[in-house]
Amino acid sequence: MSDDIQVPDSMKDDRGSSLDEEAKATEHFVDDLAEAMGRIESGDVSKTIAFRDERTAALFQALKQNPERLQSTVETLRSELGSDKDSKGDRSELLRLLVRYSIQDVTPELAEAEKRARVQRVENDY
Amino acid sequence: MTIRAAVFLDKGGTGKTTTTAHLGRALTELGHEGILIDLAGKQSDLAKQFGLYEPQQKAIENDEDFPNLSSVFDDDFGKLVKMNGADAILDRLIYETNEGMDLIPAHPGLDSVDGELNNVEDREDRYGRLKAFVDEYLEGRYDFILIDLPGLSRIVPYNGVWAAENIIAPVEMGSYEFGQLKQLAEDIDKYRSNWDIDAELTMVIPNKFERGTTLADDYMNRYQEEFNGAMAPNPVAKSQDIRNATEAGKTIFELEEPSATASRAKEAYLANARELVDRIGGKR
Repeated sequence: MSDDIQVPDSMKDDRGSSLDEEAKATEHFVDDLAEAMGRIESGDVSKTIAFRDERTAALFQALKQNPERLQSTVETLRSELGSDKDSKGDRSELLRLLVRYSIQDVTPELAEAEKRARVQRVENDY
Repeated sequence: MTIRAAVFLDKGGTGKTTTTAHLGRALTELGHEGILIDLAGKQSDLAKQFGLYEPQQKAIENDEDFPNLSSVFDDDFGKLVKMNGADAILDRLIYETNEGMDLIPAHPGLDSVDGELNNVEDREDRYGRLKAFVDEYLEGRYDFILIDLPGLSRIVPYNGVWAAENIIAPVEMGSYEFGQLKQLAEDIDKYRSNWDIDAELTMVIPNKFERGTTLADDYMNRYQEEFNGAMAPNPVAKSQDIRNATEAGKTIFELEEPSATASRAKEAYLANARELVDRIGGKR
């Protein structure tokens, strides 16, 4: 802040650079994410997500019929994500890991926002 | 009297920023005091050219970047000056380079200026904000003002054209570039008739010129024929030293042992700067 400069009210809102705008947008998103986590935790919002896609549905149907292939794919993803074996390695876990892996790989800023939202939740709870 | 010119061509990578920096330095070398204005985009290349990028970025990070070049386009810039006094505001806007000229660097806030000015209905207000700033605060304070414009036809660059009216176009010798320049000359005619401003293609500077090739000579003849009155007296030689100096945050005028091509380029900038003063000074 340029402390010795007086700023007309009309210019106060657009003083920041576009970098500031991006930072503000990220903060806003983290806040929304933390709030969504709270609503899911309290049961106000469903923790289940579903989507329609014939090709993916076929792939998962085939994996169900080939449990070794399903297990090895889950293991690969767990190892890529550094994830502990905290589930039974079923199709639900595979889908969850795939989505997480994609987010981390393609839009790491989303993964970072998710981490910060979790930290924010912990800090707010205590 | 302040000499004003904008370096413009509706195409990227023609050496606009290098030309602005080196012509500015050449004018300084000739004893003129001047300022460069960087409207060419948030990458702040002119600040980099003079080793001012880091301090400017630090100011942005520390929230000490207000006012900046984008503020000049704000409706209430005049009110801001009234509240603080022109000297305090100019002191914030203007950086001193270590090569004698001053600089108003580009700022990320310029990104949103086009969108904001797009809503301004009055044409003179939309395209004339930079001119108003230059007329009021820089005219008479400096001997010359050089404005580096982006290679885009949008509202912010048009503000640069309105403020400077004299247009300098650096071009490489080629048929595609020849077409670009012809297009620019036609555009400038349109600016004159549509906007009733005294815009002019004041100087065409053949850039990255390689002497002695038949092709270059052929093109030079073609350019001379088409843009006779606007051609710069000296083409600027292609020189690796220009790139090296730019990367080191300075112009070739600061090189202690310039190469032969850099020396030729330096002489060309000096000759072109002298001619620029004659052409623009002579008009007034």
